[in-house]
Amino acid sequence: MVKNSLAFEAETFRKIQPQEYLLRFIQGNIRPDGRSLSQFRPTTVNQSCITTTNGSSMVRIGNTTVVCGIKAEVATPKFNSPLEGYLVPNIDLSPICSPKFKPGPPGELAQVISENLNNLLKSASVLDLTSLCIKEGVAVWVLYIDLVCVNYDGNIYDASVIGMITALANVKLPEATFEEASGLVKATEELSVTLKLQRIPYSVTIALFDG
Amino acid sequence: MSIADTYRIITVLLTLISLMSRQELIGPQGLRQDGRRANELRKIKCKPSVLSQADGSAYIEQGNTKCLAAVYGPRETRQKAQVIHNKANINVEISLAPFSMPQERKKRSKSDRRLLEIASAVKQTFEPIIMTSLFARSQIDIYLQILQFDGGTIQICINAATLALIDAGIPMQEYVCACSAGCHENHILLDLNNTEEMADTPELTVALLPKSGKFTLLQMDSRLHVDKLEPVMNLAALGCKEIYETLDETVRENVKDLFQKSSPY
Repeated sequence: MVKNSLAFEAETFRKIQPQEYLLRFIQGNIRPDGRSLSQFRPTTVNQSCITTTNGSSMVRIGNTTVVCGIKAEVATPKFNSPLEGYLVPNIDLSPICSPKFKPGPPGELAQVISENLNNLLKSASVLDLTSLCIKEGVAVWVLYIDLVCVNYDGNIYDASVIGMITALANVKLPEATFEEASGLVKATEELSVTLKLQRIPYSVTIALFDG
Repeated sequence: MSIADTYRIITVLLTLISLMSRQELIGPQGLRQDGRRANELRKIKCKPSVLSQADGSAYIEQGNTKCLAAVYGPRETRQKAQVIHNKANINVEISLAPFSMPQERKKRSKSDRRLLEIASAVKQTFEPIIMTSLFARSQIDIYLQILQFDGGTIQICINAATLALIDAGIPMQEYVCACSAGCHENHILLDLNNTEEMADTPELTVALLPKSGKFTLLQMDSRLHVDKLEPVMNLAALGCKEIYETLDETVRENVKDLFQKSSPY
């Protein structure tokens, strides 16, 4: 049996010429994993999975998996907004999720996504920050939103947005009161306060391939 | 003192008060705080092959402690300085998610002393077990991510790494199973959780090769009377054997699943 020396197996072709490989599929209006051009991968969300947090969620879009945990702390408010608490999102893309990432301080992608998430929270006014105030000018809640990517298979941005919003939706805070006499913030052991999300942003990522 | 500091002090005080009132780690009926007996392990849930990007991966839960392990390798060594001419280089990295600690958010950097120590212990445990001489000049990376912490870091890291290495198909001499045990008021307790660890019980972590019965790791940071050492070690070894049964069952079921999926019938 004579094999045409220029004919490759699909896997080899994918490694040598990834662009051409993808182009062949797209020209037939389909993608390598069988999806149509505008189809999302199956997405699952699991809320309140981490009990050491105030709120948590785990999101899977296809194989991309992101775990989000929110921890609340008390802090002094920012000088020019004494009635508002604040949210601090941060994503961690470590070598565990993909061989693309090297160990060390957060790389460019992680920093860009963290900053984008921060801008999203501000511009969409997802949460009314005055609801995080304990005592004007003295004590507010600060929510640290930590996202850990455990499996990176593309579209990390959408997964982080879903993770962040679903985790915020199940945050439980204690009732906090500021005592003038001692200058301390007292919090109940029970976690009864939930956050009211004003707006829920959904994100969709679109890519242009070869026009 | 800032507000954040005072809040932190209050949380610490509340924890101390709750600890003092529950200093009895084991009640009169022989039950511990979470309802276990002195020689009972926490519930173990484990699943291999959970990540698609890694060569081998595993997710393991022991009670409330959750850990994810990913193994990449054998692959090319990143730094020329770490190349060993006749063996594979094993690199272990442990990271604790900032939301994993039960008290406050702790952004523990990867170069935190305690984590580096644990990573070094895990590396030394696996070095003689993995057949590194088969993969000269290459690197095997073991990444461990702790998602929720309730005591027993070293043991869960070793158990997760074993499962992930098997999933990656890296040849090893045997399973390595780890378990911790401690001694509190003449009771020997198996598999300590965070409350029990914090209550100053001397804790011994043991890593065992179940078939040959050899100990590959014995680690303790506190003081224990020498007479108590043997019973604590033996109980921990029994715990390891039980964990081995669970891990082995999981691996066999996973292989059965794979066979069925890849079978043409």
